Amino acid sequence: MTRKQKRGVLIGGGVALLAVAAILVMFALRDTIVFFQTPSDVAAHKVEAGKRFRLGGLVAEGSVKRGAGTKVQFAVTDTLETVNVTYEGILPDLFREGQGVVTEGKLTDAGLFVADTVLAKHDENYMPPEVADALEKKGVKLGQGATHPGNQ
Amino acid sequence: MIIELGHFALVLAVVVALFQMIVPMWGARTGDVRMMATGEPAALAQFILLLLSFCALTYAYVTSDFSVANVTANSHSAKPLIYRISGVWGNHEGSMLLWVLILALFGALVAVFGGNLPSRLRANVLSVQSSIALAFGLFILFTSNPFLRLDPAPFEGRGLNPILQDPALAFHPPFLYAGYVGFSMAFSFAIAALIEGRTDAAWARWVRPWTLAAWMFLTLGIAMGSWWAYYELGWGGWWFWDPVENASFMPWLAGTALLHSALVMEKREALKVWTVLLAILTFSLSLMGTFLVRSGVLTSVHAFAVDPERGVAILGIMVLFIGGGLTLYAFRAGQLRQGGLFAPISREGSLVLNNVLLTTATVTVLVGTLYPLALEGVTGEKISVGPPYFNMTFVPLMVPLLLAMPFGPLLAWKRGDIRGAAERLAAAALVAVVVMVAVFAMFGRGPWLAPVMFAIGVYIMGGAISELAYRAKLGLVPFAETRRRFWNFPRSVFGTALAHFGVGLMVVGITATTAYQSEQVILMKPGESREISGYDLTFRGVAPQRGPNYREQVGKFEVHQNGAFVTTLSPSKRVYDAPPQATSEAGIHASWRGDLYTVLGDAQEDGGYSIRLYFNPLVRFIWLGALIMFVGGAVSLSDRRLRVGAPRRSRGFAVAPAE
Amino acid sequence: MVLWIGFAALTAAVIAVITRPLLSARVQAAASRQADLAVYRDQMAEIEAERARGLIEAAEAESARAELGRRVLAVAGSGQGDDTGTTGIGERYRSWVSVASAVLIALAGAGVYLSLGAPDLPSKPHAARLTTPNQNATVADLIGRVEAELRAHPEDGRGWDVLAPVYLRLQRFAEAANAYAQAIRLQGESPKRLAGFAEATILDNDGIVTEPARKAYQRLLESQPDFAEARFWLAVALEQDGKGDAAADAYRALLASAPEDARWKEVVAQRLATVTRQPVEAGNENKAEDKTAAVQPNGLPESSETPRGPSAADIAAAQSMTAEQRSQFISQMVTQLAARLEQKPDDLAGWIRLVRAYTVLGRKDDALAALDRARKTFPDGSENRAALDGLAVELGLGT
Repeated sequence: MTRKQKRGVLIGGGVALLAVAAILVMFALRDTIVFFQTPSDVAAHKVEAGKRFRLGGLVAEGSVKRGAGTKVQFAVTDTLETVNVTYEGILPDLFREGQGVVTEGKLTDAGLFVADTVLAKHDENYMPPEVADALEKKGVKLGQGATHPGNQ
Repeated sequence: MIIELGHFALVLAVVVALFQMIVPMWGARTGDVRMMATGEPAALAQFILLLLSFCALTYAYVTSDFSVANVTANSHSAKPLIYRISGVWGNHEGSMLLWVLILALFGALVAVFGGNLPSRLRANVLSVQSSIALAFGLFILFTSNPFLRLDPAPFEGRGLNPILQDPALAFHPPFLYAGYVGFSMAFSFAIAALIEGRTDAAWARWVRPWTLAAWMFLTLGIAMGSWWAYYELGWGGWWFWDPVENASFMPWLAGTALLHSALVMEKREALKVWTVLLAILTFSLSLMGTFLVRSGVLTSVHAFAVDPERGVAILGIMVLFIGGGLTLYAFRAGQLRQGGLFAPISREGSLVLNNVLLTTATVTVLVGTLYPLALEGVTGEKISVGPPYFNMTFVPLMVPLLLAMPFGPLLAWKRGDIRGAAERLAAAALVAVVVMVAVFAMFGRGPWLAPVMFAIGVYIMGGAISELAYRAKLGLVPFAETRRRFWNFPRSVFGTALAHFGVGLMVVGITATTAYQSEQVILMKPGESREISGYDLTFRGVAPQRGPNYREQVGKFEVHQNGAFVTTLSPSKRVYDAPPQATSEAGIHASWRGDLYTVLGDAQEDGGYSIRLYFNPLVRFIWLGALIMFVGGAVSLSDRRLRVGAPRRSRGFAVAPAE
Repeated sequence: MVLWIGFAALTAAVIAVITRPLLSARVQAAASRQADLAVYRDQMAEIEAERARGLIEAAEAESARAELGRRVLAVAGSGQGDDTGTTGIGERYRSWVSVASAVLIALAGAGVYLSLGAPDLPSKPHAARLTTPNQNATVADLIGRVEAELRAHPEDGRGWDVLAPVYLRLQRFAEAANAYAQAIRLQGESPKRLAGFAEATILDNDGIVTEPARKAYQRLLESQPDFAEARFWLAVALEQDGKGDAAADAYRALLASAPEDARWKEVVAQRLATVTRQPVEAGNENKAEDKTAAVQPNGLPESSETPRGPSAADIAAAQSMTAEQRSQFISQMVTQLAARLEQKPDDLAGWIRLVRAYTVLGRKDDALAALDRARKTFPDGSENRAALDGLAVELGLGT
């Protein structure tokens, strides 16, 4: 093979691989990304039952009920609408009523959110940015605590 | 007084950086040797000044001097000494100072050990390196100055985020930064080569060891972070494809590619244009990592400092260096002389494959990390890209890379013999298939891919050993001759074999943990027992305890195996005094077959506790693998053939980066 | 003085070190071409060594040597002009460069440092401050000493008793509540402690009368049934529980039993009006605002200098609104406060409140502007100024 041909093989191979990767990425992005919704979005029927998404907001005061075993029920609110959530497992250390939370799971036909993951804020000052933003948009005012711990 | 001296030293260091950026390069342009020669003392002065400054800040932390605003915001007098020290870089300002300090250290190392580099190359490299230091120095002084004072001083600080009060996390940032910043060397050399329009023969011989050193630190830094996440976050997971993790993983992937392409360039003078580009890209990804973490644009469970001004400033620096570097590349790359020829099946060819796959994998991670940001910017829609995305894109790209990996070292330069290489790998492949069948028979559960990946890991480890055996002509010559050959190997051969072996070990650990983890989330009352993966755990209740700066509830579990007492595990829930914040400490029992991992949950009304139990098979292989990769890198780095220039400069260079 | 000598010495040393090569005649160049050849020589030696150890075959070594030979020829053939001369830009220019560098380094270093540094502030190591004589210690120092003492002897009830009201004054509500709780645990209940605990708890919860606070007030009423403050907050608690009628009754009872000259009557009346949904007279709100300080948990009027958040009544009023009304209400309050401070700028407590309010509302720019304005009002180095700086640090507003 001449030098040119070799280079051609090399470039061709690279391009083919990139194409494969691009296809993988496209499929993966279509199938695996998870949208973030607020209770208001849910109330407005923006999400269909059975589809995975992240639900974020504040844990409604007085809504946490422990069931049998490690089952927990609570409500997530953006102060306008509220969605009931069930979760089986251990809640994060920082899970508390009135604090920000992000849960991931699916909605049942009855409008109950079955979560398999619960992320609470990381420390006193931290609120998941998407929760902070979403709440801000709904007109709920947050302190500077809505942003961040100092850093790493 | 010490603090103000430190502040002044920082200012002076930035001014010296300005001098070092302009004068040596001016000398290189005009051919003025004396001006070029100012680069070395300037680099040393810059480093010493920054070291002074860093020590002054450390002094403020150690003595809990709350007249320094940064200390007040991030420290507390009741903190143990080690966390008062690690608090220096446990915050934005201090960590940026450490970043620049390491940058200057690398510059100083060029000045000290670069005696045999061509003057012009050395001057240009030092200038470019200094321009990075200047940009970040100004950034520190004017947006993130750690030396600002408070008057009157508060009496007590606000404390360090408790989740950072941990030995692994205390030393995670310095290693990570040594890695990130180490790639600046490759960048500076690349830019210097482009400015001159030629790559000297010494170029690759310099770039490769420095890249290797940076890569080693980054490997260790990432592994430490993952190890910390494993035992501290209490989720039993070790990698979350979190954007902050990705930010450090992308430079690692690109750096791994650079390491291999620099090898081709050193040995064969081929792939010059590509290596220079890769060097620019690798450091660009490091800068991007710094930007993503420091600007707070990410939605991450880590979510660090957010300050729009700082974000914009770092973005500006990033655009300047990435944009400038790539523009220069676009104009000057054509001038670089093309080097050696090689057939597609050859050592070079295998390294090209390695590069193509690694770069593509980097791109998929990049897309997964930036796509949510881009989408939010464009449509305002918020999404998260989680592990499923990376499993679908990154993993399929890794499989061919892992399969091809053992072939590389077995192929000759220029023209290789793939049949011969395959024959030499037959034994490894055979062992791998046996393991696959055994794993499948043993578990019979989990995804079908798991035994295959297990086999691939074993095959890589076997391949690494086969390579050594082949080179030592094991079984072909008398044993004494084999032994003689073995001890005469260049150390880089051991380095490669070790690093590849580490990768195999890691693949096995990842596969085992991911596919065969057992998890139970249960309620237990004191006195109750539970069986998991062959262990019997008895819950003995919870007792309060007091630590130096926290209170904790400590659970007690007695662990028995086949009736024999093994150990007592004590997972706990802590609440720190300042700031008052809760953390979980997992109770872990490590054994060769895996980790027994317990997390204490909330108390229930009936006196029980919710408890999380995991058994993570072979999980330690992941970090052991990373450690072996690190050691492999170190062994390779100690290879005397990597030294530059004349043999008389033989002392010290090889070990220098480890200091 | 020592510090300035240190600065000067450091600068001089740095300038001397980095400009030395410019003035030294002994600098020699390592030319690119020579360096290349040195590398190739080295590689040649390596090949030899490997062959000698039997790591590569003779044929391999031969081809590698040939390859190197080609590279050596390529370098020798390229014949690029090398930078071996010392002429460069010339001796005169070089002196200019070194002088200019020295001057610029000294000036720029001093200039930047003076604009950022605080050369007259001594270090203040924590250990040394623990032993500073009392008269030199600041409030913060004193608190810190009590805190350190309490860390060592957490069962010292008197320490908590001293600390609790100080925390409350400094608006460290959570710590105040904790300190009161500890004092009650160790020293027993007293009206002062119960009232303090309740107030701290309420303020820590943004005006919500939580269960512990309610219980504390109830205990307090057992010994002092006429304690107006407790009765008021219990009524607010009823209101917050949605028992508007009961709350209205409680307010009325409170009003009925109030002494004629009680300044807090107005606030209670206003609460009553809100509960019974009677329109408040125009301008009344303003008055209530000015009277905020009248409602103090200890039932005594206090000066409005006390730095504290919105008054009890305002918080309570805010509680009963919808989110939208609430934010409107809050910004209205803030606007009033800002206007008042324009008129009477020497009100430190007011400024602190305003800055806090802006921060809470996320209006960082306004907060910074207010902080700036406040700083201009109070002279450098005054105690008020220090309080502002402390606030800035606390709220992360930079300095």
